[in-house]
Amino acid sequence: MTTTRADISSQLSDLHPRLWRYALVLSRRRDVADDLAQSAILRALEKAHQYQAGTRLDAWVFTILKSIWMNQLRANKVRLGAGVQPVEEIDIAATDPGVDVNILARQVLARIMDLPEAQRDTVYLTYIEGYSYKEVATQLDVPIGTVMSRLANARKKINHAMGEDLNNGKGR
Amino acid sequence: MLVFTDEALTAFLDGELPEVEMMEIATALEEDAALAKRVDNLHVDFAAARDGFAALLIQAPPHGSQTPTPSNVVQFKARTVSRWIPLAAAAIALVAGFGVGRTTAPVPVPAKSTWIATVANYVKLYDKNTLSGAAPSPQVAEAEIQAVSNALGKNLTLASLQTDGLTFRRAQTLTLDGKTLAQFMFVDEGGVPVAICILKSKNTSKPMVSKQLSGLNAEVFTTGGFAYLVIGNKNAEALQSVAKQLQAQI
Repeated sequence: MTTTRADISSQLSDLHPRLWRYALVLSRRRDVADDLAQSAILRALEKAHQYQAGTRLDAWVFTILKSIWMNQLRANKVRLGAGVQPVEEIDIAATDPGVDVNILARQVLARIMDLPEAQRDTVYLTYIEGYSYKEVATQLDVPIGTVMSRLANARKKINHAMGEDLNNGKGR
Repeated sequence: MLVFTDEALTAFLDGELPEVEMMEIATALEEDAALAKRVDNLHVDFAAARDGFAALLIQAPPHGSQTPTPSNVVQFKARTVSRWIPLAAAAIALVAGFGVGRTTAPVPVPAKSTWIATVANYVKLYDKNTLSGAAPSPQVAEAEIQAVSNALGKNLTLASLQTDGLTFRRAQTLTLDGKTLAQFMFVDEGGVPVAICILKSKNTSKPMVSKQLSGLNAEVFTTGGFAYLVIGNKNAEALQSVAKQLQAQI
């Protein structure tokens, strides 16, 4: 099976919303997310000849995006802190399911976005993008045990924070 | 007593443990309130999170000539759902009675949960993505059904379970209160999952009854010492038609 550059280009265009969302999760800044997603697509097109047909294109491009992000952090091109989007501003549009669902959805999203980056990234890839532990470990280049540890710690933190929200009257 | 780490309990909730360890935790959860409390403390409603993050996709800026719209936005790509995830959900449902759950309890079941309520609570977790893979070959399907039939103690074949408009996807054996629960998953032409679940019953026969459980329509009947549940996110009439054909074939 061969995959042409045109095929990849077309699929990358379809993947763009997911790439942008992943970039937003990593950077928590819309301006950075826009650039990151575009950069990842350009880099993937440049490296299209390295893509192995039959493997998951989305996972491959996610890895590229993460690599670009890490390089930017190392090069200090992104100054963290001042520009970081407050979680409340990474808001979600009103969707169909109803007010109750939206409140809960906003709460859980906010709690995930509050996590330290390593946990946030791992939770996002596992529970939002739906990759298996093994796939996440490969994408993040860490042992599966690290994935499990990050997920367990993240679950405890989110669960605890949601419980506090409930006690403070912020929850449903 | 076996000691489980939080990592192992997390992997249990995610259906990522080997079969033996899944069984060990599921069994321990039935009797260990402290363990159930720890599992409860690890619970997060990631389905709600996916709703939230799905809404973010629509906010992605246009890429090239393509403007993202809800129709071209790629929704949640389902994990390859382990056949153990329903067991994890069922096991959690079984320990919900320990009173450790708060409003975020993983699988809300009524205090006096019946087996059909428990099953409904995990079947509702299935969506079109869950069973979106290729259908198994007839040989593989028959082999899977045969293995589950043997565990259940009732002879079943693909022909006896197959009904009009549904395509077989997988068969699996679960355990509920020490009893074998056979589950056969089908999808309709639109990819909507429909489950046929069978449990050995003390009753010889009971007429078919329509129910609505966890937002799903269901048909329940007992015949030949086995209780049958046909359940899915389809209209009641369509589901009744499936149940009647099944009843006539088994």
